[in-house]
Amino acid sequence: MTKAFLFAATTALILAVLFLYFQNFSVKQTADIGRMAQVLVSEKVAHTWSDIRDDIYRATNLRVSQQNNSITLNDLLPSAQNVSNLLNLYGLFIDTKYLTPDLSVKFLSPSGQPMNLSDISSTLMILPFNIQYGYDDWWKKDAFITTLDKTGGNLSAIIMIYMTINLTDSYLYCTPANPSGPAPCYTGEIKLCGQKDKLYLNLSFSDYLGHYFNLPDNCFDRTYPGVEKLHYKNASAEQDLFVDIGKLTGAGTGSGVSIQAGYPVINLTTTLILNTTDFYTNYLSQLQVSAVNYNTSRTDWS
Amino acid sequence: MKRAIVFTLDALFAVSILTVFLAAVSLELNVPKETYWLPEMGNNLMTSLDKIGVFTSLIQQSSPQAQATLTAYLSTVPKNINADMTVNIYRWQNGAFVLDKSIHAAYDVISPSQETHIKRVFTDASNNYFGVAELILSYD
Repeated sequence: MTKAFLFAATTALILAVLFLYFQNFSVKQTADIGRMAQVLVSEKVAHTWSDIRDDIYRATNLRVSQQNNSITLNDLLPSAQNVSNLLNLYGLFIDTKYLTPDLSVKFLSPSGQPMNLSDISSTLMILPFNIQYGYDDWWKKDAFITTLDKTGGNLSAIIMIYMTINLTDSYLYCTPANPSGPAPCYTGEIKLCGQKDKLYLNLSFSDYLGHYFNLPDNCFDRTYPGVEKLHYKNASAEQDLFVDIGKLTGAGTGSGVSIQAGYPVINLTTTLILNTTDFYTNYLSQLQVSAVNYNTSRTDWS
Repeated sequence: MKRAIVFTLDALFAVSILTVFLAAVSLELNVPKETYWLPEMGNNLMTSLDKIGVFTSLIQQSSPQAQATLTAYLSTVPKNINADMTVNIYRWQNGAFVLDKSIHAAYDVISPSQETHIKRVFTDASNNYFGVAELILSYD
Protein backbone atom coordinates (compact mmCIF):
# COMPACT_ATOMS: atom_id res chain seq x y z
CA MET A 1 0.00 0.00 0.00
CA THR A 2 2.73 2.45 1.02
CA LYS A 3 4.80 1.38 -1.99
CA ALA A 4 1.90 1.98 -4.34
CA PHE A 5 1.25 5.39 -2.81
CA LEU A 6 4.90 6.36 -3.13
CA PHE A 7 4.92 5.14 -6.68
CA ALA A 8 1.80 7.13 -7.59
CA ALA A 9 3.13 10.27 -5.89
CA THR A 10 6.48 9.98 -7.65
CA THR A 11 4.74 9.49 -10.95
CA ALA A 12 2.53 12.53 -10.42
CA LEU A 13 5.55 14.59 -9.42
CA ILE A 14 7.55 13.56 -12.45
CA LEU A 15 4.64 14.25 -14.76
CA ALA A 16 4.05 17.65 -13.17
CA VAL A 17 7.73 18.55 -13.58
CA LEU A 18 7.65 17.40 -17.19
CA PHE A 19 4.51 19.38 -17.86
CA LEU A 20 5.98 22.53 -16.35
CA TYR A 21 9.20 22.05 -18.24
CA PHE A 22 7.43 21.74 -21.56
CA GLN A 23 5.15 24.64 -20.84
CA ASN A 24 8.19 26.77 -20.05
CA PHE A 25 9.97 25.47 -23.12
CA SER A 26 6.98 26.30 -25.29
CA VAL A 27 6.74 29.85 -23.90
CA LYS A 28 10.48 30.32 -24.45
CA GLN A 29 10.26 29.04 -28.03
CA THR A 30 7.35 31.35 -28.81
CA ALA A 31 9.22 34.31 -27.33
CA ASP A 32 12.36 33.38 -29.30
CA ILE A 33 10.41 33.22 -32.53
CA GLY A 34 8.82 36.59 -31.76
CA ARG A 35 12.18 38.13 -31.00
CA MET A 36 13.66 36.62 -34.15
CA ALA A 37 10.83 38.07 -36.24
CA GLN A 38 11.33 41.46 -34.58
CA VAL A 39 15.06 41.39 -35.29
CA LEU A 40 14.46 40.42 -38.91
CA VAL A 41 11.85 43.16 -39.38
CA SER A 42 14.16 45.73 -37.77
CA GLU A 43 16.97 44.67 -40.09
CA LYS A 44 14.69 44.98 -43.08
CA VAL A 45 13.55 48.46 -42.02
CA ALA A 46 17.15 49.58 -41.43
CA HIS A 47 18.36 48.27 -44.79
CA THR A 48 15.41 49.80 -46.64
CA TRP A 49 16.10 53.15 -44.95
CA SER A 50 19.76 53.20 -45.96
CA ASP A 51 18.89 51.92 -49.45
CA ILE A 52 16.58 54.89 -50.09
CA ARG A 53 18.93 57.35 -48.37
CA ASP A 54 21.80 56.22 -50.65
CA ASP A 55 19.66 56.82 -53.73
CA ILE A 56 18.69 60.30 -52.55
CA TYR A 57 22.38 61.07 -52.12
CA ARG A 58 22.97 59.75 -55.63
CA ALA A 59 20.13 61.75 -57.16
CA THR A 60 21.18 64.98 -55.45
CA ASN A 61 24.92 64.31 -55.90
CA LEU A 62 25.41 65.60 -52.39
CA ARG A 63 27.13 63.53 -49.74
CA VAL A 64 27.51 64.75 -46.17
CA SER A 65 29.77 63.33 -43.52
CA GLN A 66 30.28 64.54 -40.00
CA GLN A 67 33.15 63.82 -37.64
CA ASN A 68 34.01 65.44 -34.30
CA ASN A 69 33.99 69.20 -34.91
CA SER A 70 33.95 69.05 -38.70
CA ILE A 71 31.37 68.52 -41.40
CA THR A 72 32.28 67.76 -45.01
CA LEU A 73 30.00 68.21 -48.00
CA ASN A 74 30.91 66.62 -51.33
CA ASP A 75 28.87 68.10 -54.12
CA LEU A 76 28.61 68.20 -57.89
CA LEU A 77 27.45 71.38 -59.65
CA PRO A 78 25.39 72.04 -61.69
CA SER A 79 22.74 69.34 -62.11
CA ALA A 80 22.03 67.95 -65.59
CA GLN A 81 18.33 67.94 -64.68
CA ASN A 82 16.15 69.53 -62.07
CA VAL A 83 16.79 67.33 -59.02
CA SER A 84 13.30 68.03 -57.75
CA ASN A 85 11.80 66.26 -60.80
CA LEU A 86 14.20 63.33 -60.39
CA LEU A 87 13.22 62.94 -56.76
CA ASN A 88 9.56 63.06 -57.68
CA LEU A 89 10.06 60.19 -60.14
CA TYR A 90 12.11 58.27 -57.62
CA GLY A 91 9.36 58.63 -55.01
CA LEU A 92 6.83 57.31 -57.53
CA PHE A 93 9.10 54.41 -58.43
CA ILE A 94 9.64 53.21 -54.88
CA ASP A 95 5.88 53.40 -54.25
CA THR A 96 4.92 51.42 -57.35
CA LYS A 97 7.81 49.04 -58.04
CA TYR A 98 9.88 48.61 -54.93
CA LEU A 99 7.93 48.70 -51.70
CA THR A 100 6.29 45.52 -50.46
CA PRO A 101 2.93 45.84 -48.65
CA ASP A 102 4.59 45.25 -45.28
CA LEU A 103 6.64 48.46 -45.52
CA SER A 104 5.70 52.11 -45.68
CA VAL A 105 7.93 55.05 -46.54
CA LYS A 106 7.27 58.70 -45.75
CA PHE A 107 9.28 61.85 -46.24
CA LEU A 108 8.82 64.39 -43.48
CA SER A 109 9.45 68.12 -43.39
CA PRO A 110 11.64 69.59 -40.63
CA SER A 111 8.44 70.09 -38.62
CA GLY A 112 7.57 66.41 -39.05
CA GLN A 113 4.77 66.83 -41.59
CA PRO A 114 4.55 64.32 -44.48
CA MET A 115 5.61 65.81 -47.81
CA ASN A 116 6.35 64.84 -51.39
CA LEU A 117 9.92 64.01 -52.23
CA SER A 118 9.80 66.71 -54.91
CA ASP A 119 9.22 69.31 -52.16
CA ILE A 120 12.47 68.43 -50.47
CA SER A 121 14.42 71.46 -49.27
CA SER A 122 17.40 72.62 -51.31
CA THR A 123 19.26 73.72 -48.19
CA LEU A 124 20.53 71.92 -45.16
CA MET A 125 21.02 73.58 -41.84
CA ILE A 126 23.80 73.31 -39.28
CA LEU A 127 22.29 73.92 -35.88
CA PRO A 128 22.30 75.64 -33.43
CA PHE A 129 24.28 78.13 -35.52
CA ASN A 130 21.70 78.46 -38.32
CA ILE A 131 24.42 78.04 -40.92
CA GLN A 132 22.95 76.99 -44.26
CA TYR A 133 24.48 75.06 -47.12
CA GLY A 134 22.37 74.92 -50.23
CA TYR A 135 21.37 76.20 -53.62
CA ASP A 136 19.00 78.78 -55.07
CA ASP A 137 17.11 75.95 -56.73
CA TRP A 138 17.53 72.29 -57.64
CA TRP A 139 19.32 73.05 -60.91
CA LYS A 140 22.29 73.65 -58.61
CA LYS A 141 23.85 76.38 -60.70
CA ASP A 142 25.19 77.95 -57.54
CA ALA A 143 25.96 76.85 -54.03
CA PHE A 144 26.29 78.88 -50.90
CA ILE A 145 27.21 78.73 -47.25
CA THR A 146 25.50 81.47 -45.33
CA THR A 147 23.91 82.38 -42.05
CA LEU A 148 20.31 83.23 -41.41
CA ASP A 149 21.30 86.26 -39.37
CA LYS A 150 22.06 89.22 -41.60
CA THR A 151 25.16 90.28 -39.69
CA GLY A 152 26.76 86.87 -40.13
CA GLY A 153 27.56 86.73 -36.43
CA ASN A 154 27.09 82.98 -36.32
CA LEU A 155 30.01 82.53 -38.69
CA SER A 156 32.22 83.08 -35.66
CA ALA A 157 31.41 79.46 -34.77
CA ILE A 158 33.48 78.44 -37.77
CA ILE A 159 37.22 78.15 -37.26
CA MET A 160 37.84 77.62 -40.96
CA ILE A 161 35.97 76.79 -44.15
CA TYR A 162 38.06 74.69 -46.51
CA MET A 163 36.56 74.91 -49.97
CA THR A 164 38.02 73.09 -52.96
CA ILE A 165 36.62 73.80 -56.39
CA ASN A 166 37.65 71.18 -58.93
CA LEU A 167 36.78 71.88 -62.56
CA THR A 168 36.08 68.57 -64.26
CA ASP A 169 35.41 69.72 -67.83
CA SER A 170 37.33 73.03 -67.91
CA TYR A 171 40.78 74.16 -66.93
CA LEU A 172 42.22 77.12 -65.06
CA TYR A 173 43.31 79.76 -67.53
CA CYS A 174 45.10 82.14 -65.20
CA THR A 175 48.53 82.59 -63.70
CA PRO A 176 50.28 81.21 -61.72
CA ALA A 177 48.13 78.06 -61.94
CA ASN A 178 48.49 77.95 -65.72
CA PRO A 179 51.52 79.88 -67.13
CA SER A 180 49.77 80.34 -70.47
CA GLY A 181 46.82 82.14 -68.86
CA PRO A 182 46.22 85.78 -69.84
CA ALA A 183 45.24 87.03 -66.38
CA PRO A 184 46.14 86.39 -62.76
CA CYS A 185 44.01 83.94 -60.79
CA TYR A 186 43.70 86.31 -57.88
CA THR A 187 41.46 89.09 -59.15
CA GLY A 188 38.24 90.67 -58.08
CA GLU A 189 37.49 92.76 -55.03
CA ILE A 190 37.96 91.19 -51.68
CA LYS A 191 38.34 92.92 -48.35
CA LEU A 192 40.65 91.20 -45.93
CA CYS A 193 39.56 90.94 -42.32
CA GLY A 194 40.18 93.52 -39.65
CA GLN A 195 39.85 93.11 -35.91
CA LYS A 196 36.25 91.92 -36.09
CA ASP A 197 33.63 90.45 -38.46
CA LYS A 198 36.02 87.77 -39.62
CA LEU A 199 35.28 85.06 -42.12
CA TYR A 200 37.93 82.36 -42.30
CA LEU A 201 38.09 80.68 -45.68
CA ASN A 202 40.73 78.58 -47.37
CA LEU A 203 39.75 78.57 -51.03
CA SER A 204 41.52 76.47 -53.63
CA PHE A 205 40.90 75.65 -57.27
CA SER A 206 42.05 72.73 -59.36
CA ASP A 207 41.20 71.24 -62.71
CA TYR A 208 41.28 67.93 -64.56
CA LEU A 209 44.67 68.82 -66.08
CA GLY A 210 46.27 69.10 -62.66
CA HIS A 211 46.51 72.90 -62.42
CA TYR A 212 46.11 74.18 -58.89
CA PHE A 213 45.64 77.54 -57.24
CA ASN A 214 45.22 78.35 -53.58
CA LEU A 215 44.00 81.81 -52.63
CA PRO A 216 46.89 83.24 -50.55
CA ASP A 217 44.62 84.96 -48.00
CA ASN A 218 42.23 83.16 -45.71
CA CYS A 219 40.69 85.82 -43.48
CA PHE A 220 38.07 88.12 -44.96
CA ASP A 221 35.68 90.84 -43.86
CA ARG A 222 32.27 89.24 -43.71
CA THR A 223 30.43 92.58 -43.88
CA TYR A 224 31.91 93.52 -47.26
CA PRO A 225 30.45 92.15 -50.51
CA GLY A 226 33.71 90.77 -51.91
CA VAL A 227 34.15 88.73 -55.04
CA GLU A 228 36.97 86.53 -56.37
CA LYS A 229 37.06 86.10 -60.14
CA LEU A 230 38.80 83.11 -61.62
CA HIS A 231 39.41 82.77 -65.33
CA TYR A 232 38.80 79.35 -66.84
CA LYS A 233 38.53 77.86 -70.29
CA ASN A 234 36.96 74.85 -71.91
CA ALA A 235 36.36 73.64 -75.46
CA SER A 236 33.59 76.11 -76.11
CA ALA A 237 34.15 79.11 -73.89
CA GLU A 238 36.54 81.25 -71.92
CA GLN A 239 34.85 82.75 -68.91
CA ASP A 240 35.09 83.79 -65.30
CA LEU A 241 33.96 81.82 -62.30
CA PHE A 242 32.67 84.08 -59.52
CA VAL A 243 33.02 83.34 -55.85
CA ASP A 244 31.36 85.81 -53.51
CA ILE A 245 33.10 86.11 -50.17
CA GLY A 246 31.68 88.13 -47.30
CA LYS A 247 28.34 89.90 -47.44
CA LEU A 248 26.22 88.00 -49.94
CA THR A 249 24.07 90.00 -52.29
CA GLY A 250 22.65 87.21 -54.44
CA ALA A 251 22.21 83.78 -52.99
CA GLY A 252 21.37 83.61 -49.33
CA THR A 253 20.60 86.57 -47.12
CA GLY A 254 23.53 86.84 -44.74
CA SER A 255 27.28 86.52 -44.94
CA GLY A 256 29.34 83.63 -46.18
CA VAL A 257 30.58 82.18 -49.44
CA SER A 258 28.70 81.69 -52.68
CA ILE A 259 29.81 80.08 -55.92
CA GLN A 260 28.09 81.11 -59.10
CA ALA A 261 29.03 78.14 -61.21
CA GLY A 262 26.72 78.28 -64.20
CA TYR A 263 28.55 76.41 -66.93
CA PRO A 264 31.62 74.50 -65.76
CA VAL A 265 31.03 71.19 -64.03
CA ILE A 266 32.44 71.46 -60.55
CA ASN A 267 33.29 68.94 -57.91
CA LEU A 268 32.90 71.03 -54.80
CA THR A 269 34.29 69.82 -51.51
CA THR A 270 33.56 71.97 -48.49
CA THR A 271 34.76 71.21 -44.99
CA LEU A 272 33.63 73.37 -42.09
CA ILE A 273 35.72 73.21 -38.95
CA LEU A 274 33.61 74.40 -36.04
CA ASN A 275 34.75 75.55 -32.62
CA THR A 276 32.64 72.87 -30.95
CA THR A 277 31.54 69.30 -31.37
CA ASP A 278 28.15 70.30 -30.01
CA PHE A 279 26.23 70.78 -33.24
CA TYR A 280 23.89 68.80 -35.44
CA THR A 281 22.67 68.93 -38.98
CA ASN A 282 19.17 69.04 -40.39
CA TYR A 283 19.52 67.45 -43.79
CA LEU A 284 17.22 67.84 -46.75
CA SER A 285 14.29 65.96 -45.23
CA GLN A 286 13.46 63.27 -42.72
CA LEU A 287 12.97 59.79 -44.06
CA GLN A 288 10.67 57.44 -42.19
CA VAL A 289 10.50 53.72 -42.97
CA SER A 290 7.97 51.67 -40.99
CA ALA A 291 7.00 48.03 -40.83
CA VAL A 292 3.22 48.04 -41.23
CA ASN A 293 2.48 45.03 -39.02
CA TYR A 294 5.09 45.71 -36.35
CA ASN A 295 5.78 48.58 -34.08
CA THR A 296 9.11 49.13 -35.81
CA SER A 297 10.25 52.18 -37.74
CA ARG A 298 13.29 54.31 -38.40
CA THR A 299 13.01 58.07 -38.77
CA ASP A 300 16.12 60.10 -39.36
CA TRP A 301 17.51 62.95 -41.43
CA SER A 302 18.49 61.85 -44.88
CA MET B 1 4.68 -10.79 -10.36
CA LYS B 2 4.32 -7.49 -8.43
CA ARG B 3 8.04 -6.87 -8.67
CA ALA B 4 7.93 -7.42 -12.41
CA ILE B 5 5.13 -4.83 -12.86
CA VAL B 6 6.97 -2.20 -10.80
CA PHE B 7 10.12 -2.86 -12.77
CA THR B 8 8.30 -2.51 -16.11
CA LEU B 9 6.63 0.81 -15.24
CA ASP B 10 9.89 2.13 -13.90
CA ALA B 11 11.62 1.27 -17.12
CA LEU B 12 8.78 2.80 -19.07
CA PHE B 13 9.21 6.06 -17.16
CA ALA B 14 12.91 6.04 -17.72
CA VAL B 15 12.41 5.56 -21.41
CA SER B 16 9.75 8.28 -21.64
CA ILE B 17 11.89 10.75 -19.68
CA LEU B 18 14.85 10.00 -21.93
CA THR B 19 12.66 10.43 -25.00
CA VAL B 20 11.32 13.74 -23.77
CA PHE B 21 14.85 14.91 -22.94
CA LEU B 22 16.17 13.94 -26.35
CA ALA B 23 13.21 15.59 -28.06
CA ALA B 24 13.80 18.81 -26.13
CA VAL B 25 17.51 18.85 -26.95
CA SER B 26 16.74 18.07 -30.55
CA LEU B 27 14.19 20.90 -30.76
CA GLU B 28 16.67 23.31 -29.19
CA LEU B 29 19.36 22.34 -31.66
CA ASN B 30 16.92 22.53 -34.54
CA VAL B 31 16.30 26.32 -34.27
CA PRO B 32 17.26 27.37 -37.81
CA LYS B 33 20.23 29.65 -37.22
CA GLU B 34 20.37 30.49 -40.91
CA THR B 35 17.12 32.38 -40.37
CA TYR B 36 19.32 35.00 -38.73
CA TRP B 37 22.38 35.10 -40.89
CA LEU B 38 20.92 34.37 -44.31
CA PRO B 39 19.07 37.74 -44.58
CA GLU B 40 22.11 39.52 -43.18
CA MET B 41 24.35 37.93 -45.77
CA GLY B 42 21.85 38.82 -48.52
CA ASN B 43 21.57 42.43 -47.37
CA ASN B 44 25.33 42.79 -47.22
CA LEU B 45 25.72 41.38 -50.71
CA MET B 46 23.01 43.62 -52.17
CA THR B 47 24.33 46.73 -50.39
CA SER B 48 27.83 46.04 -51.67
CA LEU B 49 26.66 45.48 -55.24
CA ASP B 50 24.69 48.72 -55.12
CA LYS B 51 27.43 50.82 -53.53
CA ILE B 52 30.16 49.73 -55.92
CA GLY B 53 27.85 50.53 -58.83
CA VAL B 54 27.24 47.03 -60.17
CA PHE B 55 23.48 47.54 -60.54
CA THR B 56 23.76 50.88 -62.33
CA SER B 57 26.47 49.44 -64.61
CA LEU B 58 23.93 46.84 -65.80
CA ILE B 59 21.87 49.63 -67.37
CA GLN B 60 24.41 50.16 -70.13
CA GLN B 61 25.25 46.47 -70.64
CA SER B 62 23.57 44.11 -73.08
CA SER B 63 21.39 41.42 -71.48
CA PRO B 64 23.98 38.58 -71.92
CA GLN B 65 26.74 40.82 -70.56
CA ALA B 66 24.58 41.84 -67.63
CA GLN B 67 23.72 38.23 -66.88
CA ALA B 68 27.40 37.27 -66.98
CA THR B 69 28.22 40.14 -64.61
CA LEU B 70 25.57 39.05 -62.11
CA THR B 71 26.56 35.38 -62.32
CA ALA B 72 30.18 36.28 -61.65
CA TYR B 73 29.21 38.16 -58.48
CA LEU B 74 26.81 35.44 -57.33
CA SER B 75 29.53 32.81 -57.69
CA THR B 76 31.39 34.53 -54.83
CA VAL B 77 28.81 33.40 -52.24
CA PRO B 78 29.82 30.37 -50.13
CA LYS B 79 29.35 26.96 -51.71
CA ASN B 80 26.59 25.89 -49.34
CA ILE B 81 24.41 28.87 -50.31
CA ASN B 82 22.23 29.01 -53.40
CA ALA B 83 21.65 32.40 -54.99
CA ASP B 84 19.04 33.52 -57.45
CA MET B 85 18.81 37.14 -58.59
CA THR B 86 16.44 39.06 -60.84
CA VAL B 87 17.12 42.66 -61.80
CA ASN B 88 14.38 44.66 -63.48
CA ILE B 89 15.41 47.96 -65.04
CA TYR B 90 12.74 50.49 -65.94
CA ARG B 91 12.88 53.68 -67.94
CA TRP B 92 10.57 56.63 -67.37
CA GLN B 93 8.94 57.17 -70.75
CA ASN B 94 5.76 58.94 -71.73
CA GLY B 95 4.57 59.22 -68.18
CA ALA B 96 5.13 55.60 -67.15
CA PHE B 97 7.84 53.22 -65.99
CA VAL B 98 8.51 50.95 -68.95
CA LEU B 99 10.46 47.73 -68.43
CA ASP B 100 13.71 48.21 -70.33
CA LYS B 101 15.52 45.04 -69.32
CA SER B 102 15.04 42.04 -67.07
CA ILE B 103 18.14 40.09 -66.09
CA HIS B 104 18.09 36.79 -64.29
CA ALA B 105 21.07 34.92 -62.90
CA ALA B 106 21.22 31.90 -60.63
CA TYR B 107 24.00 30.06 -58.92
CA ASP B 108 23.86 26.46 -57.67
CA VAL B 109 20.11 26.23 -57.04
CA ILE B 110 19.15 22.85 -55.57
CA SER B 111 16.17 22.03 -53.35
CA PRO B 112 16.61 24.60 -50.59
CA SER B 113 15.39 24.15 -47.04
CA GLN B 114 15.58 27.78 -45.89
CA GLU B 115 15.34 30.85 -48.07
CA THR B 116 15.25 34.60 -47.79
CA HIS B 117 14.17 37.37 -50.20
CA ILE B 118 16.05 40.67 -50.32
CA LYS B 119 15.12 43.68 -52.47
CA ARG B 120 17.21 46.70 -53.32
CA VAL B 121 16.26 49.77 -55.32
CA PHE B 122 18.78 51.68 -57.44
CA THR B 123 18.67 54.55 -59.88
CA ASP B 124 20.49 56.39 -62.59
CA ALA B 125 17.93 59.13 -62.17
CA SER B 126 19.63 61.70 -64.39
CA ASN B 127 19.14 59.31 -67.32
CA ASN B 128 15.63 58.36 -66.20
CA TYR B 129 16.55 54.77 -65.31
CA PHE B 130 15.23 53.11 -62.16
CA GLY B 131 15.71 49.51 -61.11
CA VAL B 132 14.84 46.89 -58.53
CA ALA B 133 17.07 43.93 -57.76
CA GLU B 134 15.64 40.93 -55.95
CA LEU B 135 17.86 38.28 -54.46
CA ILE B 136 16.75 34.89 -53.16
CA LEU B 137 19.33 33.20 -50.99
CA SER B 138 18.74 29.65 -49.88
CA TYR B 139 20.50 27.16 -47.72
CA ASP B 140 20.54 23.37 -48.15
